[in-house]
Amino acid sequence: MSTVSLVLWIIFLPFIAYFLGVLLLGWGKKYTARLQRRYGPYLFQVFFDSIKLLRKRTNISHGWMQDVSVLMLLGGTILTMYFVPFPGFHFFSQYGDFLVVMYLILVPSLGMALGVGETANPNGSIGISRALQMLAGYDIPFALAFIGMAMIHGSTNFYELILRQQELGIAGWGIVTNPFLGIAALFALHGMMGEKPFEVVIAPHEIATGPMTEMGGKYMGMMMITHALQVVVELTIFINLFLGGAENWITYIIKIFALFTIILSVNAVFGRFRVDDAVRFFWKIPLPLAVIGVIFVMI
Amino acid sequence: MTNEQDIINRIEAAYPDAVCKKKQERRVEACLPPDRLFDFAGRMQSHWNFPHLSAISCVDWINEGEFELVYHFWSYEEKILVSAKIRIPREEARFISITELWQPAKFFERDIHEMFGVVFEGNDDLEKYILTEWEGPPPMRKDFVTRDFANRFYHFKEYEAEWMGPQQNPQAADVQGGSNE
Amino acid sequence: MSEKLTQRTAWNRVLDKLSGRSLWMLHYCTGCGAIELPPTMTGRFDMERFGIHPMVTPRQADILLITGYLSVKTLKRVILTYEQMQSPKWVVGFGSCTINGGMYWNSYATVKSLDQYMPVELYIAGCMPRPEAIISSFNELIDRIGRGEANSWKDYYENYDFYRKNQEHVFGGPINTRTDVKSDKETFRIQSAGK
Repeated sequence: MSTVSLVLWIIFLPFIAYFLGVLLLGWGKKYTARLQRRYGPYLFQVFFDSIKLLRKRTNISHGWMQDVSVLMLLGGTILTMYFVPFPGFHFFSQYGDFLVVMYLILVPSLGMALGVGETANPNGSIGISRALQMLAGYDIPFALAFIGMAMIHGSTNFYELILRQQELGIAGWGIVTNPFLGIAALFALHGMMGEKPFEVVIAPHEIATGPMTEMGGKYMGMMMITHALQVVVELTIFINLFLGGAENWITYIIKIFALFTIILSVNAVFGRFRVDDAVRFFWKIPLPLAVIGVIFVMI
Repeated sequence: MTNEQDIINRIEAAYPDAVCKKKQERRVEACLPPDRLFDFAGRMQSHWNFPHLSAISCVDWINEGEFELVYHFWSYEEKILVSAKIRIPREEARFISITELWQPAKFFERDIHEMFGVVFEGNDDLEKYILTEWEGPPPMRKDFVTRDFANRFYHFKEYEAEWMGPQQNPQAADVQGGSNE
Repeated sequence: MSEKLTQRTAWNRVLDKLSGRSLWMLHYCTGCGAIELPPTMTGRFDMERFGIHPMVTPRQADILLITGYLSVKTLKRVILTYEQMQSPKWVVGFGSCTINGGMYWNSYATVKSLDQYMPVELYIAGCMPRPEAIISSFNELIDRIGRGEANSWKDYYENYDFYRKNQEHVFGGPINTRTDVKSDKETFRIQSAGK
């Protein structure tokens, strides 16, 4: 990869991912609305939301930690994105980038915890404590799925893993060769994205959007941007691990929309689990599945 | 199971100066002299199986210069509501509290104190209850004219539209007429 | 001076149009008018197709929709909520109660015209207005934002003393809302609408 194209990728990847994230979230809103027999918002609604929020004239800041936390959210997400291979861009996908991603994916939640602690809003504190409890639920199956896939291919490198999967076509995809790990990771992905059965962190009607309660104006705008990026990053990680990565942008977009639509369909028909129920679910079904998957790998 | 007439007989036997009446199915009214009310309430609660104090209400009889306090007692087993009515003078109205018998009466009495200005002796919590920002006289008294107060205290918008023509806004005319009463 | 302030650059024109497409509404349901909101939000009328979405916390909301009468006690909460919202913010008075007291016009406990206590961008007349009226008023608001004319929120910073005087008249004493509107005006350089 030449230096010029590398620099261009580094500059433009966040913008591409943001555009894709806006499209995904807009599609999500539209899809859910059509399931509910509504017309639904604009396709670029999330983009309009961010524009409006960033143009707010006043901002209530509760301290410098709140300012830093928003940057930590955005920065952590963008940094994670660079280590995840996109079609045509895998420069940072070198030895051990698996472990880096596993570590970096926690940075945004920690940043949010610090910032929300500063705002001292009880709803925010409840939301953060729920977020960390949920982390204990979904992160263990997800980490096991990571480790299992690394053991199968004997590599901690995303790009190598994608190449191995692509050698055999669909028969080589992680979800086909190791369905236990794949299904466990799909559940964990659902929890990580905070879609409906595992919506306890945000829970708008219960704790008033939890961590975002005190975040208004530009803070909220940054969080909207981060959310759009996070959706892309999390879905891409799953695609790279279990759906054979993507050869080019067309297959990538087909895969990411298909995967997101599956998650949205579950989201549209479920209510909200309580936090203890959600964690119990994660430890009852995805965790044993992941353990079985890892045992299969070791045999 | 007793019926309404049994209750009336029982009350009249114990309180010869009470005037009892069956208002309708399962509704009994008993007019008592004020000094018998506390005794009556205690007996209703402990002897006659009326454990539930539904409400205390107040009526302002301004021409007679009296407040009427109505205590509603309900029996879960007989399924009869007994309303005990007493009259107290309207000027500097004071009455004895029944919070010793029923703790929930605190709130009813506090409400009546706020709305009518009746002081209940023995109730230690007669702070502002619902009208926390209210400074004026007790608003449910009949000598408090709420329309005059609203016209004096609040700002009303003038409203004129082309379709209304030259004549005045009917609501504004009503407001002015009201203040002249 | 005022000429310069009212003129917008092409860039701002585009951004105004775009931000009008996203409005988050905080509905303060004090009165009976709240019953008209569920059909407005859900399948029948679906206001989300205009980008209007109910929001649960005042920090993120753009519209404060007052549905129905306000007693003196609830007015205090509304003012607290209003001052927590981030500018630009718009108040929409719903129903005749907010205009002149409505059917409570002679009540001692309900405030009569809402615009004495906070700047109101739009009133929806009626008792109660139908969801079509709500949708049409929000479309009017979106148009005004796109044209850059929805500046009623600046009035609160301009004439803060007037509004605060009226509020204190009703409450019978000073109130502490924990929001320093005057210093906000300095900090965020909010200029007058240039009328």
